[in-house]
Amino acid sequence: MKKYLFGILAAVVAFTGFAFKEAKSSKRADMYVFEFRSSQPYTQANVQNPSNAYWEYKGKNLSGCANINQKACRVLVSADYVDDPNSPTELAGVSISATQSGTTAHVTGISGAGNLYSNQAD
Amino acid sequence: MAFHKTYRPYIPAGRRWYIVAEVAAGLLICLFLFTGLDKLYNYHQFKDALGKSPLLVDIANVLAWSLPVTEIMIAVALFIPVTRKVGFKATIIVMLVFIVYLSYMMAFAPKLPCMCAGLLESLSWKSHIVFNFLMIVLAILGIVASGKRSSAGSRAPPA
Repeated sequence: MKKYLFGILAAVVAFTGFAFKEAKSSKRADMYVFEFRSSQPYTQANVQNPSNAYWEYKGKNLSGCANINQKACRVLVSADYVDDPNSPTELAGVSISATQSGTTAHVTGISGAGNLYSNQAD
Repeated sequence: MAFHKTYRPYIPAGRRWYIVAEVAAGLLICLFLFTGLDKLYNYHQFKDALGKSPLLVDIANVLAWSLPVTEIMIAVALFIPVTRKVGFKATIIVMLVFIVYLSYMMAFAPKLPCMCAGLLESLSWKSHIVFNFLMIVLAILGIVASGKRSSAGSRAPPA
């Protein structure tokens, strides 16, 4: 038993740390992530349109994209800005602003406190 | 004038190496168990983040479960004294693979966030590489200490 002492101690520390981290992150408000459909042309009008035809729901609390302002990628919104927080399919009550350079547009702003966006490389 | 002579408690060399090996293994168990559990618990987020990486997009599905499972297996190998050396060697291999990947990301996608679990998530790519090098040093120290410990323990008493 003595030879496992350090290992048991390390395992306890790891489990405790993990439990604390998860308890802390579960207190944070969920962010709903929508991604611009890559099958659609990346025009300014399309990127600014919050409809499900252009912005697809991907999941909760996912990470952003590479943050390179060349092409639209993801928007992260709180529960107030989705159609149904229990089963979200579409953005609701949010306005997205975009800038087009050449044939591709990227997001330059999103309404709503705490809402975020991230673009990607073209 | 008063002289004070302090005596350091004598710790035999074998015991010292034993402690070094145990502490190195303990720290690495802590790291692998924590990161492995975190990746499994946040499986969907981890898989999604891997899918965003240009290098891993094709193997994201397999890697999303195989990487945390490997990390937990290394933690188990480090926990069991008989397989500890194998655990240290596996640590070095895994950390070297991570360093190659991190170097690639630094060069080609430096702004992509890292799904590395816990405190590591807040590290920059560069700090992450330094951290991984430190873990390699720790694993090497563990291998050396395990070898010294066994050779010190097997030494025959003077005739």
